[in-house]
Amino acid sequence: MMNDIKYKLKKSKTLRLSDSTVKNINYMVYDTKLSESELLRSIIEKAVSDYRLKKAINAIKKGSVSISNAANVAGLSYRDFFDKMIENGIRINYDEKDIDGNFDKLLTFINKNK
Amino acid sequence: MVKTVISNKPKIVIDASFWINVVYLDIESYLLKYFDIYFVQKVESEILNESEHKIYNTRDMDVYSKLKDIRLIKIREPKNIPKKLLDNLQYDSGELYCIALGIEDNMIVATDDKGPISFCKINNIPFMTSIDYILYLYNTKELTKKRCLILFNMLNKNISKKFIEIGKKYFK
Repeated sequence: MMNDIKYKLKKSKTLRLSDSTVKNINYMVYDTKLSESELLRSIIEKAVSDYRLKKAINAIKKGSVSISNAANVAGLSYRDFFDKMIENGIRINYDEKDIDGNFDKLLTFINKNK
Repeated sequence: MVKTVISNKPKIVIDASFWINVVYLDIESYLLKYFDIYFVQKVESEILNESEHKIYNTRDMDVYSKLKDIRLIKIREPKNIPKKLLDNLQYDSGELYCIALGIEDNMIVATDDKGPISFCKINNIPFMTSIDYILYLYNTKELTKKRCLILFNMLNKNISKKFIEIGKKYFK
């Protein structure tokens, strides 16, 4: 998905911030002892990973992807994503028609293959 | 002389979602009793979370390692991956290798994940969810109805309620 997009953003970018954002960032630089660049980078990186996680969780909620797919979208390992699902109260969704009646078929298969 | 032990138990290949859920319910020991258990390497790394962020071990990681150490868990890789699997499932994922092995060796695919379940259903590959597994243990008289209902409720933490209801309807 992301690989199909033609990137326009360069590695360095100038942007205009509101007075209140500048104030807040100045305070955060003072408070965290990080440099301005480090702090801004970490804020952007956090926003990117939050966005990816949200997108992955929405896809799982809709039932449109598997856990591996979603973990890939979120940029997390399978286990880390599984834990995030539980943390966020997200439950695995199946297609009802896929699992209804499966037990009887399974039992027949097991009895045949014993 | 080398003695070969041939198991007459049905073979299952387990994916990470099923393993995590079943160990969480503390019913994994019955798997050993009723099935010949296989994992693929990729699922092992998904379970053991071989990522840079790993900071702790969960119970299912420990149980997995212990069973592997005493050779009750076997690792096997599929010889090839059918194209229809590559077209439908996540590239280089546990589910992909798991189903490929299931097809190759006529195994039951044990999974709680939607993508693999749908693929198995469409392609007539036998599969077992943790809900099916609980029902199987009821069927073999390992679990009482009361215990099954408790387990279904516990499973509701990870699986949508409407699917738990499908399991519960077997008791009605």
